[in-house]
Amino acid sequence: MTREMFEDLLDRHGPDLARWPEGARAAAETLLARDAAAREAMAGAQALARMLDTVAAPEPGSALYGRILAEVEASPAIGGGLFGWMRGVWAQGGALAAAAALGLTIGFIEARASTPMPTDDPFAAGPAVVAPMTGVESFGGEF
Amino acid sequence: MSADEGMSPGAPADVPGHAPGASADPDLPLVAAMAKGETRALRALMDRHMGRVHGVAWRLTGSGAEAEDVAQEVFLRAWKTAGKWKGLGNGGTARFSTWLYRVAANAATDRVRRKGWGHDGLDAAGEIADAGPTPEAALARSDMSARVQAEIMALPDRQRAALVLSHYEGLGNPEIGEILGVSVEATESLLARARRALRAALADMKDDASWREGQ
Repeated sequence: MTREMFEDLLDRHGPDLARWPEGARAAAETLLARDAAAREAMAGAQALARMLDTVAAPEPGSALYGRILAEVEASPAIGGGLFGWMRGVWAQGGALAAAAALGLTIGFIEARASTPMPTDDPFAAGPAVVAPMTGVESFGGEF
Repeated sequence: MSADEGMSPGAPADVPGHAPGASADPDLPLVAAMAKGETRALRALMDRHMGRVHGVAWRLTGSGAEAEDVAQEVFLRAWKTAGKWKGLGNGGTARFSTWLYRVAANAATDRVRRKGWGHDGLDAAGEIADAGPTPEAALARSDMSARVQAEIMALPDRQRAALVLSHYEGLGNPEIGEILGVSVEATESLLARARRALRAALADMKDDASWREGQ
């Protein structure tokens, strides 16, 4: 291996010989043992690596995870291919059904207010009919 | 350039470094679970890769806020892509993490082109690695860190991305080429030019680095 070849490989692969192509490592070590200029080139590459090491990236904020999950939760239809699409449709359908049921319930309550009902009315707990229909509650356990 | 330009879910068949039939992608079970709409799998994927994705984005944008936005974009894209993913062990050749890096690198580069470098890297001085035994040494390392970060950001986009993925993420040249959408030869050329440019730009600081070696 010539010094020029060594310096070219040094620029391509960096100063850690373990990251060099396996076939070039032994020749590089042989050259380093006998060539002071090659050792100087290696020292320069190692100095650059140490300088790069002085820059450490900050950790992401802990709120970032929650922000991403909240975005997924807010738009469940975007995730998970067919299942995600079905969940989105179901969630939207559930919301529509809940709105319809709420409207019916309000109308029903208003009707009851103007019309005396027997005490054993099976619809006396009317609003409870609405609760299981909300799309949010249908998937609440997963978020 | 869109964040995932040229990257359909699944890599080209002739991508080097990932022969079909190679060891299975450890992220594949999480991808499959995300495809079923399991947000816990997304959380696990973030636990596994957030640090590196965010780190790459921070090093390429120089901004903590931009890096978080890039990371958010990456994992939301991962959530959307899961149901269509064809990668290693699933009819394709790419690891899911390689695709994550690719989306992160492209999204970060796009932001730098649109908005410029974030310049808040220096505000993260508390993050400087191994600040040193004395206040003077810490200040010297802080100055060095700021200067090095500035020189990294001065590199052309692809050289900067190749250097970050190689030096800080420890990725091999074939995987870096896959992420950047270039050949291994082109990747090595990018790395060589980046290292030469940085050595020249930081030549006056070499003695400082040599000093640290002796500490």
